[in-house]
Order: sequence, then C-alpha cells, then structure tokens
Amino acid sequence: MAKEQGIQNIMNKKKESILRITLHRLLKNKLAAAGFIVFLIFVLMSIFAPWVAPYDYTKQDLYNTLAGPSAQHLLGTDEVGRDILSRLIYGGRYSLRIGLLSMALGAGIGIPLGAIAGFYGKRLDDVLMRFMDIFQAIPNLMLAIALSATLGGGVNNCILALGITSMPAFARMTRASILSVRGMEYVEAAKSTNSSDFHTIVKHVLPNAIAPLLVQSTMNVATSILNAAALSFIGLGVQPPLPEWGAMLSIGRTYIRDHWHMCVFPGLTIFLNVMALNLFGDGLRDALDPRMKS
Amino acid sequence: MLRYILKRFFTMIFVLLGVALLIFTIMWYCPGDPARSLLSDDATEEQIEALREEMGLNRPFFVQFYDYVYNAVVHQDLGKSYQTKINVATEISQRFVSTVQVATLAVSIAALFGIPLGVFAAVNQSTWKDNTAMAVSLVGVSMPGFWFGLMLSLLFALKLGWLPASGFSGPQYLILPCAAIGIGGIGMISRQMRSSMLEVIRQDYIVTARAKGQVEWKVIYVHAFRNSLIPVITQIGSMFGHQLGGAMVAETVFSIPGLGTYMVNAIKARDYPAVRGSVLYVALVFALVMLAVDLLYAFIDPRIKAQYSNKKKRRVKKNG
Repeated sequence: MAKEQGIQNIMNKKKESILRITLHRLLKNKLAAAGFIVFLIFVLMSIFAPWVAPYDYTKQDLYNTLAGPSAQHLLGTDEVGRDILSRLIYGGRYSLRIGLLSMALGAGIGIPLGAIAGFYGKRLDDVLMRFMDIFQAIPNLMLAIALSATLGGGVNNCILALGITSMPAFARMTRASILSVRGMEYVEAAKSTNSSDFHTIVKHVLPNAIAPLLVQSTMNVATSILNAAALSFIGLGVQPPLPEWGAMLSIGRTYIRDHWHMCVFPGLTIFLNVMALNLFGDGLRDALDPRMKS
Repeated sequence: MLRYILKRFFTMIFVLLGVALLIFTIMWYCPGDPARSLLSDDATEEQIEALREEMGLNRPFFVQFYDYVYNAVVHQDLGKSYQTKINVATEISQRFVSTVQVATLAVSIAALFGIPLGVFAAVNQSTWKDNTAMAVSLVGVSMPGFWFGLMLSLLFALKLGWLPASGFSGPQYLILPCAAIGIGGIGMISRQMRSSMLEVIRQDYIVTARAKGQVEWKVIYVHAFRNSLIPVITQIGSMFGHQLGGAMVAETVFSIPGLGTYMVNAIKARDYPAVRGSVLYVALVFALVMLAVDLLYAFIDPRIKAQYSNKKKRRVKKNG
C-alpha cells in the first residue's frame, strides 16, 4: 500500500514537473507570452464589454455619422453614427466565440474519430481516413461556404460550419499522434491489466499524444477567426448589424474611398488577434516539444 | 511507378465520388425551392410543380444523384445553371482561365519571396536576421488576405491611382489581387522552408561536405537546398490547388470573373448545379495537382525514384 502510494506520488510529481517545465519554457518565450497576453486582453475586453466600451454598440448618433477618429470617438463612427471602438469590443463576443467554439466542435468530433482510427487501425482506420480525405478534397473555406448556405447565416450556424470543416485536421493529427504511441510498452501494460479500450485510449494514449493537438487547437482558433471574418465579409456568415469583425469590414468596404477608418480598424483587430494566437501557438509548440524548435 | 499512379487514380475516383455525394447532400438540404425562385412571384402552384417535374426535382435523392454522376462521367455534363441557363462545365472552363492566371502569379510570388526568406532565416538561425525574417513571415501568415487586398486597393488604386481597383482586362489588374493572395503564401512557405532547411543542415552529409572544405554557399545551395525542397513543394502544390479552387474572397474584393466569384454568386442565388459543379471541379483539380506534386518528388529526390524501382526489382526477383 505504502509502495503504491509512493509510486503515485512520483507519478504526480512527474506530471507536475512536465507541466511546470512547459509553463516555464512558455513564459521564458517573450513573444509567446506577449501573444497570450494580447489575446487574453481581447477576450477579457469582450467579456466585460458593457464596462469597457465607451458607448453602447447599438447607439446611433445620426448627427455624427462616418466621423473619423477623434477624442470623442477614438476609432471614429460608422454609417449610422455608432462608435466603432465599442462595436469592435462587443464584436469580440461574436468573433472570438466563433473561433473558440468552432475549434472545440472540430476537436470534439475530430479527436475521438482520429483516436479510434489510430488505435484500432486496419479497416476502421481505412474507412475513417477515406472519409476525411473527402472532406479535405474541398478547400476549407469553400466547404464552409457551402455549409453556411445550407445552414443559413448567424453565429451558431457559422460555428457549426467552421467546426465541421476543421474536424478532419484534428482527426488526422490525433491519428498520427496515436500511431506513434500505440506500440509503447505502457499501452501494452494497460491492455494486459484488462483495461478497457476506452479507458486505455482516454487515460493512457491520448494524454501522451496531446502535445501536437494543443498546438493545432491554438492555430485552429486563429484560422477559424479568419474564416469566420471571410464568411461574413462575403455575406454568408454573421449578418450585420451584429458587430462581428468580418461583417463590420464588409460594410466598411462600401465606404473605403472616403472613410478608411471603417475598414482599417476591424481588419487590424482581426490581424492582431490572429497574430497573437499564432505567436502563442508557435511558443506552445516549442515549449511542448523543444526538438521542434528548429 | 505506374502501379503507384494507378493506385492514386483509383483512390482519387473514390474521393471524387465521395465529394459529389457530400456536396449533393449539402445542397439537397439547402432551404428554398429552385423552381419557385426561377419563376416570377405571380406563378401558380401548378406552374411551379410542372417546373419541378421538368427539372427532375421530384425524383428521389439517389436517382438524382445517380443521374448527376452518370451525366458528369459519361457526357462531361454538370447540368445547366439555373441563373444563366448555360452549361455549368462551359462556364467553369471559361472562368477557369482567369483563376489560373491569378493562382499562378500569386503562388509564384509566394514561392519567389518565401523560399529565399526561409533559406535566409535558416542560414542565420537565432540571429536578428532570422528573427526579422520570421517576424515578416508571421505577419504574412496572420494577415487576412482580403483585408490586405482592401488596404492595397485603398493605397495604390484609390489614393495614388497607380493601379486599377477592380476588374480584369490586362496584366495591371493582376498585381493587387496576386499581392493580396501572395502575402499569406510568403509567410507559410518561408516558415516551412526554414524548418525543412534546418532539419537538413544538421544531417551528416552536410557535416561531411563542410569537413571536406566545401565553400559555404555550395553547402547550402547544392547540398542542402535541393534536399529540403520536398515539404516546400508539397506546400506550394497544396497552395496552388487551393488557389485554383478560386481565391473566393480575393476574387470578390477585386471583382475578378473567376471560379471563386462564380461559386459565391451561385451560392447566394441557390444555383445548385453551379455550386455542385464548381465544388466537384475544384476537388478534381486539387486531386490532380497533388498527384502531380507526388510525381514531381521522384524527379527531385532520387531516393523516391529508387524506392519504386527497387520494389519493381524485388517483385521481378521474387517471381523469377
């Protein structure tokens, strides 16, 4: 009993130390830390939008339409006099929600499918991977556009369309990671102790194959934000007057000739978020697997 | 090698059938009735029903799907567009020309700048030069292409008046869209090139080349460069395939009459044959480009060619 307790303590310590080492490496990477902080600021601003935003994002000021940046409206106003800064802060609630939830959906479907394909192999693997081939034969944005046309516009449908399109990448990565650990002794040991397949996959295989998936998830949020903006930009995603960043850009395009601020700031916001996530993703990859830091 | 190509073709046919089924199913569930939208608002229910019957929309799902695949394979007929009444295959082939021009130039720009940038970063690893090059590539990867296109258009077309903001009737119309699409490509290719190059320059044969007193530029460009190209070529191929599918958003921004705008307009108008046709076409082109990339490997990397010929030799030996 005491021996088992000792082994458990050692294992806990090992787990803790891996986590601590990763965090330490991540914090030491200043660019990754900066990326994380910038993204966190955007997330917090959108959560606390009613307190942070200087104006209500729906409040119109018809005497002050299409005004450029000023002390009163730091990023100017739109075609009906709404404050652009406030709309960008509130817009994070839509754009970031789409990015995060579509990633969660893609990972939620893709990881189990990839795990099953990688763990069981043979026919099941063939069938599932050919299924993924079909999805991957269509460019992501094109598939998302087709799905959006069927599902209709709106935030939830956008999440669904982008989640489905990002699912094959998760499945493939999970399968590849699982294939690399499937033959390890600890998996054999788990099997020999009569551990169920589900238990073996969830407790022993997935945790050891999780590193590339974490990186993929971070990068996927960035891609989803970009794709959601593109969908809204061509009028198939979130519809105006909701202040999603791509939708704001789509309206701003109409006024680009004389009112550049309507186009520049939403695009800059998307760019900053994507850049922050990419920086964090790169740092996370290096921290989880220093061999990748080439 | 021939066996491999045949195997790839067989897989490709299966994937294309799957794509056809997938897009057919998605379009099947699209809300709205094409017959109703084609007729004027004062059309009677009988007229709508008659048109539905004529268009074959009342038939069961699998009958419609079978007919679609049969016509596509046997007669190369992807149906007629609901909007323009023109054969979808004809329209796609007309629009494909402008998409190919944009894709070729955009990917060439990406490769021309991305590859040297990646090599430069790898050769100067962990120095300020590497960091600067990677910062540039990160900006490229993170930049929304359509926004960058708008910004280029704002500066060079609307403010300076140097280049046209939209349209497609001369080489000058290609510059802004290709730059907008190319920026992301430069970022992706340079990152891939850097990591691939770093992997290669740690190999023993590079150490040997240096130990034998080979000059540094020869070590990099003769020994390392060619061997680090394979993942980069895959990336370029995949990028080219995707661009041939139409850089939908960039085409919309610059009003290019390519495959991307065709598909976006078709989706907005619920023109099912046009959507199905363009998706299938894109999948076919993408699969062919990736096959071509695979075959290109054999020319770049003699080990891959040797792998195929060894298999053949082994088989001959076994049978003999």
